[in-house]
Amino acid sequence: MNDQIVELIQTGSQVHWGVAIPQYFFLTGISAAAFLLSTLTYVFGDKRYESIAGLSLIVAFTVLVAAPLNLIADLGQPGRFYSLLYHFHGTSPMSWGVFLLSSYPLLIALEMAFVFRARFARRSQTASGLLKGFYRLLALGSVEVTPDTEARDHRIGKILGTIGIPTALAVHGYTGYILGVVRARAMWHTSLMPLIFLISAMVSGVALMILLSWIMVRNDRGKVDWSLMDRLGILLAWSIVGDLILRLLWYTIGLSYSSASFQEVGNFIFGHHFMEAVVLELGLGLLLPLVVMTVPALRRIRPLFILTVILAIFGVMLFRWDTVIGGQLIPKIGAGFYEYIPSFWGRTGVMHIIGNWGFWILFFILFTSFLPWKKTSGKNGRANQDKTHTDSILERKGAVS
Amino acid sequence: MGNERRNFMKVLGAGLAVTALSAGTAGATSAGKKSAQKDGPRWGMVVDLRLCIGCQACTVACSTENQIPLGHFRTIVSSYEVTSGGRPRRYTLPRLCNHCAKPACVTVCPTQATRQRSDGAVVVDNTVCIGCGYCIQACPYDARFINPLTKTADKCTFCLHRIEAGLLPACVETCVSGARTFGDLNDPRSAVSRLLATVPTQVLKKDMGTAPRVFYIGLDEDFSGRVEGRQVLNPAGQAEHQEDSI
Repeated sequence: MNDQIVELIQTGSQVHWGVAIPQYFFLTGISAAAFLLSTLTYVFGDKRYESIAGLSLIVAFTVLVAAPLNLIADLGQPGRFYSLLYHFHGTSPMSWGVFLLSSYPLLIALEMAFVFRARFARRSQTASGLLKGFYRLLALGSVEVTPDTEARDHRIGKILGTIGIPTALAVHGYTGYILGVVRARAMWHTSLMPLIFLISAMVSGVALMILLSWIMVRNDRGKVDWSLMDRLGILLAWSIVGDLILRLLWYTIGLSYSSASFQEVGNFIFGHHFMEAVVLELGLGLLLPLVVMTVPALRRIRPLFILTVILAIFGVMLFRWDTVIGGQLIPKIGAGFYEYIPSFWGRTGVMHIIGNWGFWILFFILFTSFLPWKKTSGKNGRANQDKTHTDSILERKGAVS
Repeated sequence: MGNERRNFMKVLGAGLAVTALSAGTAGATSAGKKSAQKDGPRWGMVVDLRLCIGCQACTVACSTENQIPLGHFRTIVSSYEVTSGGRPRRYTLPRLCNHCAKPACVTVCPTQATRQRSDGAVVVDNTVCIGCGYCIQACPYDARFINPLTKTADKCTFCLHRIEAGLLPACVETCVSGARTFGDLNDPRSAVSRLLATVPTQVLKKDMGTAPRVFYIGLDEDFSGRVEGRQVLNPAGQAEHQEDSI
């Protein structure tokens, strides 16, 4: 009817959820994925991932200590964050999230206590002075290590891990839910959003664990455990396949069969934001890692392997950015698209993200130096300690060769 | 139309524009209060776009009345240049909180700081609000913002402080063409109810299912949702690049 409309005067809400929110979504995703990786060993008893199980648990915990700081910092009234606990509102996913975010780290901490208890107990036997008391405290006061206590620890660890699986899925799934319920934003409003978030979390989490394994985990010969890395690489490839399938469903149903408002999302993703959303996020972040992980000849080019793993991590970060920030760049009432460039300082600045990463890395280094996560420093099997130790060495040699 | 003419006559007759205008339309309001005492009032507004001249007097009156920090608005008149059949014309669309019957903002608030009163007004308790911005995301009408002074969510209240004192909202009272009519939707004799009963009205973004209680007369379909057009100024007042146009 109208040939041309030029918007002369308009106010718009623009970007309200700045850099902290994609950062938070990214970190909880890492936490959920790392936790699920640890359950392969502690719940499902898959010994092939044992050397990274403890490390995964530490990642899951430390990341989830750093992540909620983003949320608090992003509040207009950060000093009131605790009021979320007693102003519960059942219809708000954010309100549920507060309780998930409070209970999930406690659950991981408790599981860590049981998983590492025997090793703490042994350390307290050999340590002296203050450190002895410290390790005794970490071992929950119980310093005896017998096959019975180890079996008990293993059993409790398994129960906690089992409870942790739905909790981890919920703690990250709810972040997708937060966006999914917002009907006003066409890019966010899809029931697939929690699933897309979960599967892309697996991509970033597995990729980060590959990177950390490359840096920190060594096999019995003191070398990088490439057989483990390759197994994780396959897991990464499957996660990427899942991610791509969900994207395909989301985009095709949205563009072909959805309301007109999703057409704007299509214009934004495949037009205005093509470089970020398609070339970098889908191309370099998902497709390239998928090809490298599935073609053995390419996977064996180890620098390429590591590079694509890093690209996969950045790809998921970019996905969080493109979804949270990108979704807000499509005006709800105004014409055209908004532009957003974060500031350098301040709560919406680049330094916020760097600071948050720094906080996590510091916390992670602290935890990995104190907690006996390395497989060789102890066993939590149910049988005689020496026997299981030899078994696991044999097992690993078999796996390596 | 009769309502405006009556107002106009009163203004002429009394000579005291402001007092008379408020008495004119508030007369309908207070009458509404009496008749609908069982259910209490349900406030609503009808904006007659045929009368709006885009002068932004409502914008200014609101900002002054409610002491809105610079750069933020509880109401604004969006203005467009529309070309159809080679002929350009101006299109103006006053926007404010729709005080929806099914407010999306209230549902998502994690602290119940924003709620709907029994009279339908959607309000924010800024002593409880944590400023998370979820309501801002959920509002399909961009009617909310974070107030830089209180650091909490802020929005149109229908000027409840004035209504409770028997006055009209500032935007309604100041509107030079009488485009905005405010009153009790529960009272069939109120000005808004009579307009709704006699003139076809539309709401913004009907498909959002929020059931707005701000109605428009003469709303062009192209403007009821996200406006597809060219943006010459972004809200920060900076010139926008030409390639951003659709």
